[in-house]
Amino acid sequence: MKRKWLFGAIGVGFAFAVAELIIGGISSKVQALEVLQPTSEFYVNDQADVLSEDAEKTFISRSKALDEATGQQVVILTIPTLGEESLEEYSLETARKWGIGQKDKNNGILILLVTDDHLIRIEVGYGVEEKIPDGLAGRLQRTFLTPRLKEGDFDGGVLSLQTAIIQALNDQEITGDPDGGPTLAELEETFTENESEESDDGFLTLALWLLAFGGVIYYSFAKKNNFWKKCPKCGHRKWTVEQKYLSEIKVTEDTVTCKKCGYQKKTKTKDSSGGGSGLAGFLLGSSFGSSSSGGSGGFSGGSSGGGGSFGGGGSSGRW
Amino acid sequence: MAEEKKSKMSLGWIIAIVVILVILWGVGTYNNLVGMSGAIDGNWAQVENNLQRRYDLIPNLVSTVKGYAAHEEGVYTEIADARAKLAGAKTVEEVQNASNELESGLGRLLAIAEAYPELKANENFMSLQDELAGTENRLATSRKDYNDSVKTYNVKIKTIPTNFIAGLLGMNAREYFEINEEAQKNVIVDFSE
Repeated sequence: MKRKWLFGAIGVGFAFAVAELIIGGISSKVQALEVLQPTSEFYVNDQADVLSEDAEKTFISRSKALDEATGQQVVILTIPTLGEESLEEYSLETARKWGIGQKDKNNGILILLVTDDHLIRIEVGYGVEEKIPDGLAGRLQRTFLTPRLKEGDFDGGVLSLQTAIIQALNDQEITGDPDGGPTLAELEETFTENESEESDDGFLTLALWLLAFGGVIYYSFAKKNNFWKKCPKCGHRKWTVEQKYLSEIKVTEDTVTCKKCGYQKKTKTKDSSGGGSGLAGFLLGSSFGSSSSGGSGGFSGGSSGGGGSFGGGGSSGRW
Repeated sequence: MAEEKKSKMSLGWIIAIVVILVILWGVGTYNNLVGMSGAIDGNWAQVENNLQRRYDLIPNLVSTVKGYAAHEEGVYTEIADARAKLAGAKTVEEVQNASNELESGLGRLLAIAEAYPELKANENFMSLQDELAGTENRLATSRKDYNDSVKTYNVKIKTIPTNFIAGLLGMNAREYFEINEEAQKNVIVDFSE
């Protein structure tokens, strides 16, 4: 059977919609400083190499425990310098790109240390701004991190701040003890899960399209084979269809048999290139294309990592 | 999948199907634009949220500074006026202008505060500074998100073939939210402790 039309038409339809997407243009901002990729450990990204291995391990295990118990993510990034880049912009872009925190709860925290420039920033996710408002973020910085950084104690400062943040996020007393904070068990106890309902419109749209498409195909198939025509003998409307392809004469013979009385009708059709399925293919292709361009149009400022989102809350400082 | 072997399709059918396809494409595109427009509204709401936040923060900030620098009348009046204007602003442009004036006033206020070391050491003032800096940052972020979504939308409604639908259904370009760059710089405080 010739399927050229079907595939060709799907291709054209899809290309049409994709071309529209490309013409629309993708504007990329030229960044003075490139946003990095997170390391395999995710929680610790010590690009400036100021933390000892032990400190890194401790930080990771604590953040991991926090993540498991509550879904909150505390991540640290250290870089040597920002260059021309703005601290707040870089921090926000990184936090968003890495998708720190859960998508529906936006409960992520990014600690950014710029070691040569002596700058600090704590970036607070949308969902935890209540727990750590800007004033508190600044105070935590000034109390637990900055004094230690001034003495050169990066390990102590970072671990202490991490503890303080974890305590603040979970309504515990803020001690900022570098040697420990709430245990996994304690976190799990105090943390209550709120189920959030997700409604996925994209899926619904796709399902509707497939349904319509299926409907179109069924209808044309049914119409062609007289599915609803009355049987001339008994008036019944149900048929069975049998198709035979006679290759010598390149003709398809369809035999429809009335289910009730056995009345049969044979029709012969010449092999044609299926214009009908071609159009159905175009429909399918263009609907896929336009639903994908609709999806990406909706994203502005959201996180491409699919994780938590940030609105610019937090505080900056220097030491 | 069903095998379609229509031996012949009348011209009428072909025209009808083409029309249907065009309509479907039109509907899809329109819905897409509506979605983008919605995103813009959402982002604007966030901008207004943050403007409100700053608005609410200011009286506290002003009174704290006044506690140490009562005689600097000029700047307090400037801020009060700008605040009143912002409360009455309706269009994006009015909001813009009022917010720029407010930012200038705040910049002056913080510059003045620099001259009073006891004020700077005051814990309350430091917290307020954090809150203000955070709010300004949030404002910058939401303004950027808003402008980004406006840009995407404005470009989309001008490109062919989308512009046909947009023109037909009265979807026009949305305004950007501009700021006075200089005023903005003053307010994002550079901490030198």
